[in-house]
Amino acid sequence: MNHPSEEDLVLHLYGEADESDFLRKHLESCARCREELSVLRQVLSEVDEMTPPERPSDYGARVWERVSKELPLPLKKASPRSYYWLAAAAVLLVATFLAGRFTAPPDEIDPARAGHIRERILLVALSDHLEQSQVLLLEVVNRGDRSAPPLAPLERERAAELLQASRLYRQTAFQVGEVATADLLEELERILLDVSQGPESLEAREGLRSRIEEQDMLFKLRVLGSTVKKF
Amino acid sequence: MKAVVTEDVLARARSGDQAAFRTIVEGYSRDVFRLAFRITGNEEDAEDAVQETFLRAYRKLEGFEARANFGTWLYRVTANTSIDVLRRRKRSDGRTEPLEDDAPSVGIAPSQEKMVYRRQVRERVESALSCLSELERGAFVLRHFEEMSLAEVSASLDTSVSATKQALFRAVRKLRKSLAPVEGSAS
Repeated sequence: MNHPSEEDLVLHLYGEADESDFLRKHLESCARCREELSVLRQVLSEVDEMTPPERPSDYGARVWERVSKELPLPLKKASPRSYYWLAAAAVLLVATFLAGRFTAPPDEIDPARAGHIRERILLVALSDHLEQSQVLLLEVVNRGDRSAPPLAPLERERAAELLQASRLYRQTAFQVGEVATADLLEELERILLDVSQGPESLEAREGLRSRIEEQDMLFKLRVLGSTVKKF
Repeated sequence: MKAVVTEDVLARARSGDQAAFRTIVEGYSRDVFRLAFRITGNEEDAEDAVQETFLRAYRKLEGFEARANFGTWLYRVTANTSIDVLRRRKRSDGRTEPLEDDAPSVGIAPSQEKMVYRRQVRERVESALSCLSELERGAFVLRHFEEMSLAEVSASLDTSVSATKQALFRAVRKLRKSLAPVEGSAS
């Protein structure tokens, strides 16, 4: 006697079988296959014991609280090019202040105040740069998903611009003795360089995503960003 | 997932309205958690998957076609995100936490003996599920718990129907093998 396979019985249980007369009639007449079906049904019903734990009544609000912190701010829809110029402007201002300190008469400059303003301008611009880099890297991580399309040309262009800005910040950070910040920016630049060159294949995108995750780059940027904001 | 937001909310969320997106998050969080938990097998990973799912959804929302079913689309994002979380966890430590002992059980006032038995079954089921590959687990969870058709499962997991069927067969075979010792031990 030809018996249906285990696969046939699984499909039958899930209502996915091509319900031919053979299977139906066979089950009516074959005690062995009915027993087999009964065992499968019991195993699958035991799996139903895996019940997800209850969530609190305000669960949706709690999830939103976490998610909303990670969403890009609406003002970040400005052209990426502006950030490059913002970075350039910040560095230029730093240079101007530095130059002013050495060319203006000593009694017209309060070095402490000038230093404070200079750092403030740089930190605001740097904080913005870090946020933009996080948004882009998160996008790259998401594109490592096999169902996601490759990076768009606009995103690669954005990476190239952030790369240029990052170099300026790194040089400035190095000049003012912020070695740890300069090191992190250098790590970021290596990733931005790869993103700007456009990883096309899924393997390349997954590789890039793994690098970002293994280096904890998003976490590091977030930590530096919050530190910068506190000043 | 049942529809919990209106087309107007969806349209506003797609245009970048964060208040509208908040309505989506609050409306679907429980369903997303349930699916994420069943795929990842523990609360911590499920919570990570919930957060990552909504962040991915936010960024992909612009590409979502208004005529499609939003719940099905979000299912797809959740399933893929949960599988990614599961894959990352397996890669990092290969650890799967058992279900919490105090997880709520189904039924009313079961005897202590039955409660012990159910806990044992839950632990065995979780242990058995942790032995499945990501694809097997995803296919099984979506077909068995979420009652999606094989065609819907294959679309969600971005695989062929044939590959989905094979993954489901392998999953059932493994579960049967793992759960065999307790077959018929409770009635």
